[in-house]
Amino acid sequence: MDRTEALAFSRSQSQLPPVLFWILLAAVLLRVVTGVMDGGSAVGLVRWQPREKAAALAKTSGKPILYDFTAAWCAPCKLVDRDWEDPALAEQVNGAFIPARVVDRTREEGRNPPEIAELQRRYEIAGFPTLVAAAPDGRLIAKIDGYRGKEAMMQFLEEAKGK
Amino acid sequence: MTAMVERFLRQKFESPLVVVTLAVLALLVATPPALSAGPARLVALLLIASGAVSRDASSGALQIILARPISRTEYLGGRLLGVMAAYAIFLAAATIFAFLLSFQLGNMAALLSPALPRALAGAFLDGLQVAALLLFFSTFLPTFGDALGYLFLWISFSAAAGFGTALGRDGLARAASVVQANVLPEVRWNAVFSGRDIPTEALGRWVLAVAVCFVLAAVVLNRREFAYGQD
Repeated sequence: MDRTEALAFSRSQSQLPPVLFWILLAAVLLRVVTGVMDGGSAVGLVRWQPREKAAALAKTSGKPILYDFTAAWCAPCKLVDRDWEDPALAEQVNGAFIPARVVDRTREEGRNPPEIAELQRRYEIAGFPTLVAAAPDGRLIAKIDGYRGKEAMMQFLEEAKGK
Repeated sequence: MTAMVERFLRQKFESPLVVVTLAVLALLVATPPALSAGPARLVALLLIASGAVSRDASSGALQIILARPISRTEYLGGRLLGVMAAYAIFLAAATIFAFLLSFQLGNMAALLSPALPRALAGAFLDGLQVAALLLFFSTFLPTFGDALGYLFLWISFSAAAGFGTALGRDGLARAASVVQANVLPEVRWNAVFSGRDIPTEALGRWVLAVAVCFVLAAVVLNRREFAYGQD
């Protein structure tokens, strides 16, 4: 077999099987479906948004983002979660903010995904729960750490809304 | 395909140095909390997967393999399966070490929870995504260029996000974060397997990243011309 024949034989094996295109198409469809259906976590009456969407929504709506920095193992965070069930509080959050939960994964997975670590660094999160109100450009507006009761949360939201 | 996988395993495990290094890494992965040592798992995977295609191409073995009735895409599939089989053996060894260590320490409870199979499955699926990316790099970068390409990509994303934040360029930080989330997605497998995180966008990103890497690898390999006696 000379070089030309060898290359021709090699090329005959260089056909992409059609199944690859179907796999790629299915993956793209799944990506779109999960992107549309991922409505964030369902905690309380607050309409939590996925973090990436929250940033985009804040830019288009001009509303500040309300980050709820929380962790699965954190007991005071459960008290905050219970307060999100309050209709008045939820209405305040849903009306004036783009709410997004940031769940720490350090204890479960050894480290946080980069975007969570980045948010924690940016807003200097030292403990949980911490609520952060941030302008659409990411600038810190207000921050409250620890659980201080529903009244304090309402007051924090009012102040953050007015800044 | 089975023969391709067997060939890959023979190639990887024939060197005592590689076997000893993987055993040490498996011990590191096995230390409590078991399977949480991400960097050790990544190093093991880089050791297993690097040069999957490029070493065959540079040694001339690829040209001989392609002289048989096997398509280039089948060859790629065989290499990816081989990498994942070797990685599964590594994870199995780490699990055995974890049980032995826990038995010695008298703390078996942590390993008998449902979290262990979930962590194992998550580690395997994370590995599949990295392996697919390395396979893609391996189709056009020489020898260990695929591992360096992966590290370069990872460092670039992290550096761009870090510089963006440090310089107050939120756009750069956010863009780096979005690209990284799509190219090197991190899925919370524990939450997915426990049904708490379905449907999650990260899962869709992971599936697309694996599919795109494999298809791109197939496209590049199918378009390359291999002459005998040179790469």
